[in-house]
Amino acid sequence: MNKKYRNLLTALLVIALFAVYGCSSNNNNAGSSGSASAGASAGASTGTAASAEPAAADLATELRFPLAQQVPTLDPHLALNTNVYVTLNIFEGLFAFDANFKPVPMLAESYDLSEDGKTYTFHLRHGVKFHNGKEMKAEDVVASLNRWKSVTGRAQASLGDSEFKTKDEYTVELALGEPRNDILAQLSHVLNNAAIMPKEVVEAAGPDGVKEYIGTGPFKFVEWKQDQYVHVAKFDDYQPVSAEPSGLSGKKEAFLKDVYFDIVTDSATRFSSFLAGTYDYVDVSLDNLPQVQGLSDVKLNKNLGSDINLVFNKKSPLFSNVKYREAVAAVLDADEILLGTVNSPDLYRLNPSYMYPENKTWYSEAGKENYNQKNADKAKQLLQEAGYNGQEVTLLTTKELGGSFYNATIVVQKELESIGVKTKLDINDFATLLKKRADANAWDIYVGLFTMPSTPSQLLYLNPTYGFADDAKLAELTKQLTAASTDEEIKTANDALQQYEWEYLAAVKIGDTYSQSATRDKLTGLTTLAGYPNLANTKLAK
Amino acid sequence: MAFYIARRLLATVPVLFVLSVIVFLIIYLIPGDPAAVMLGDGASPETIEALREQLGLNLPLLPQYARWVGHAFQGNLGDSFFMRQPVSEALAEHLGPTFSLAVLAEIVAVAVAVPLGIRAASRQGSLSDKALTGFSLFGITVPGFVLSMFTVLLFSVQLKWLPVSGYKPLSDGLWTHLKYLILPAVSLGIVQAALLARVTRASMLEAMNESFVKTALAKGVSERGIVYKHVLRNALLPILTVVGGSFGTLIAGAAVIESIFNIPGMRQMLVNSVQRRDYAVIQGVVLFVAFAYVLVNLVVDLLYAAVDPRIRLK
Repeated sequence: MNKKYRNLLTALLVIALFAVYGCSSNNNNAGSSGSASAGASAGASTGTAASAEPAAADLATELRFPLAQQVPTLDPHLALNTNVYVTLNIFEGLFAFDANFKPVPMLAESYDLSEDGKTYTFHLRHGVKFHNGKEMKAEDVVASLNRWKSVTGRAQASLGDSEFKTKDEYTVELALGEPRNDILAQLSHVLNNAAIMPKEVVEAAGPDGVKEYIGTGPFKFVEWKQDQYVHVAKFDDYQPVSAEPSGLSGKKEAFLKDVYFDIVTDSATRFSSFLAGTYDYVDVSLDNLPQVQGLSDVKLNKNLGSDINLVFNKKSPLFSNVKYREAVAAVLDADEILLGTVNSPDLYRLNPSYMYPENKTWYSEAGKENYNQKNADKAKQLLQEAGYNGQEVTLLTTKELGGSFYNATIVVQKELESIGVKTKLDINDFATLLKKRADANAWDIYVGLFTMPSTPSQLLYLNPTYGFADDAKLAELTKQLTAASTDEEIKTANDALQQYEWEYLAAVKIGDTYSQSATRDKLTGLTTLAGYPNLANTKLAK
Repeated sequence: MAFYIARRLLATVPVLFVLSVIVFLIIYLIPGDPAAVMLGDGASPETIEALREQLGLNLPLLPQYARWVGHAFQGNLGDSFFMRQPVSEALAEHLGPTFSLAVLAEIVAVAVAVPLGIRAASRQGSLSDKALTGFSLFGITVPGFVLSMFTVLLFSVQLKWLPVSGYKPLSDGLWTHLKYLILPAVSLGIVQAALLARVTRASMLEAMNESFVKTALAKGVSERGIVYKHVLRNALLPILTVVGGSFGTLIAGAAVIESIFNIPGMRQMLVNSVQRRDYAVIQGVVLFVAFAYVLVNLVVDLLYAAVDPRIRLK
C-alpha cells in the first residue's frame, strides 16, 4: 500500500513538472532570441576607457535601456510618457522638435502657408520607406493624420472639423476654418505624436490602437514581450535628412543593431543593474546621487523634466468662485512646494510662465506678479471676502509615478491649512485618479506634473476636459493667440493670454523640475528632449 | 483513493464559484477604468468611449458576470485587455517563472531548515540550538526584500557573480536558468526556512519524548539511527504541513521579490493587472491561485498517507 502511494505521487509530481516546464519553455522560445545575448552585456566590465569617436569595429551592437514604468501601448498616436521612449525611435512625423522646441521638417520636405493663414500645404520627401518596405506617400500621411486627429483630444482642439486631404502623390493639404499658428507644433509634439504609418495599418486599427507597429524611423519594431521588454532593431533602409541633429530633429543614423527597452519598475533594481554593468544609462534619484558621483567613468546629466501646476476644479462648489482660486494662489510658496517635491534646490527652478524659457516663441512673463506670492494675509482676506466657513477642500493625488505628485500635494495641503482651510487628502492609485479627475464632483484641487508644453494651446488645463475650464474670455484669447501670424502679433496675444490666465487661474504654475540621469562614458551621442531619449546617433563602445 | 481525489477536486468547484463572485464584485466596485488607463490623458473622450464599448465595459454588472462565467465554464477565462492574449495563455506563460522560483525557494528552505532543526533538537540547549533560535529570529524579522537588496549588493554589484535581475527560461540552459533565480530563491527561502526550522525542532522534540525512543535506546540502536529512522519519521507530519503551506504561499505571495528581481512571474502580472484594471487577468490569477492552494493541500494529505501508513484515506 505504502509503495503504491509513493509511485502514484511520484507519477503525479512528474506529470505536473512536465506540464509546467512544457508550457514555459514553449512560449519562451519566441522570446529567447530576444534575450539570448543578455548575459554578455550583463557581464561586461565597466572599466572601458571612452574615446570621443570610437571606430565602427569598436562599437557594441546591442544596447539595453531601462524603462521605469510599464508600456501600455506602442501606438504612437496614443503614446504618452514611458511609451514615448520607445515610439519616438520607431516612428516619425512630418515635423520634429529641435532642442529649442522649434518644429523642423522631418518627413515633410517643406510646407507652404496660404496668405490668409488658413491652408497648409505639406510637400513630402520622396523615397522615404516604411519598415515594411513600402514607400511613404500622401495617402499614408492623410490616413495617419486624420486618425491622429480623431483619437487625440489635443489635435481635435486644434484642428476642429478640418481634415487632411491628398493633393497629389507627395502633397498633402490641410484647410482650416480659421488661421492657426500652432499646427506645426502640434504635428511635432512627442506625446500623442502625429506619427506617419502605412495607410493599411491605420485602417486596421481598433479602439485599442494599431495592431502593427510600422513607422519610418531609424529603428524598426521587432518584439514586444508585455511587462518585460520591447526589442527594436536598426532599419537598414532608413533615409536620413541632411540637417544637423538637434533635439529630435535632423540627421539620424543608427549605430546600434539591437536595442532592448527593459521594463524595470523598481528603482533600486534599475540602479543596481546600472552599477553591475547591465545598463549604461539610468535615471538617478537623490539617494543614489553620492554613488554616481563616486564613479569615474560615469557622467551625470541634468534634464529639464516636468513642470508642476496646481489645477482647480472650476466646477467645484468653492473653486467655481475665482476669489477662492485667488486665495490659494496668494498663499502658495513655490520654493517650498518644489523643494518638497524634488528634495534638492539643484533640481528645480522658479518660472512664472506656463511655458519654458527655452521655448523662445511662447515664453512670457506676463502676470508674474501673481506668481509665488507667499502672502498669507492676502489669502486670509480673500477667503473672508469669499465667505469661507470651514468647507472641506479635497486634494486629489496618487503615490504612484515616483511619489512626486503626492509630495507636491502634501506641501500644498500644509500651506492651505496654514490659512485655516480645512483639507482632505484623497490618495488613489493612478487608475482611480484618472477616473476621479474626470468627475467634477470628486475633487477640488489637483497638483500634477506636466510634460513639455510646447504651445499654450496645448496646455491641458486650459481646455474644458481637464479641470473644467469654462470661460468665454479664455477661449477668445486662446483663439486670438492661435490666429496670430507675425512675431509681434504672437507676442501681444501670448502676453494677453498668460496675463489673463494669472487672473482667471485655471491652474497655478508652481515651477519647473529637472530629472537626473547617469550615462557611462562609453555611451556617446545620446540626446534627450524633455527627458525623452533619441537613440539615433547613439554609440556604445565595446 | 481515486474517489477521494475526485471528491476533493470536486469540492473546489463551490469554493471557486464563491471566490469568483467576490473577486468580480470587488474589482468592479473599485473605481478606475481600464480604457482610460490604456489610452491615457491625451485621448479624446470618444476614443475612450469606443474602447469601453469594445471591451464590454458598458454592460451592466450582471450581464458582464454572466458572460464571464459562461466563458469560464468552457475553459475560457477571457482575454487580457493589455496583453492582447487569452488569460489562460498569459497564466501559462507567467506560471513558469513563479513555479521555478517557488520550487527553488522551497528547496533552499528545506535544505537549510530541516538539518538545522534536527541538529538543534538532538542537542537541546546547546550552542547550535541557540544559534537556530537566533537564525529563526533573523529569518522571521528581516523582510525578504531587505535581504534581497543586501544579497544583490554583495553578489551582483560587488562580486558580479550573479545577475542583478531578470529571468531566463529553462530552455536557455539549466545554469543560465538557475543563475537568475538563486538570489530571489535564497531571499524567499530563508524566510520560509526560519519558520520551518522551528517547527522541525519542536516536532522532533515531541517525538523524542515518546516511549518508543526509550525502547530503541534499550535495544541498543545508535543515536543516529534513532534520530533519523525513528524520531524524524514520526516528526514528519507537522513538517510536511508547513512545507505544503509555505509552498502555497510561495506560489501565491511574494510579489515584492518578483518585482525587485524583475521576474515575469504570475504575481508581478497580478500586481500590474490590478494597477491597470485588467479585470480578466485579476480574476484568472486569483482563481488559479485558489485552485493551486487546494491542490497543494490535497498533495500534502496524500503525502501524509505515504509517510504514515496509519493514515488511511477514504
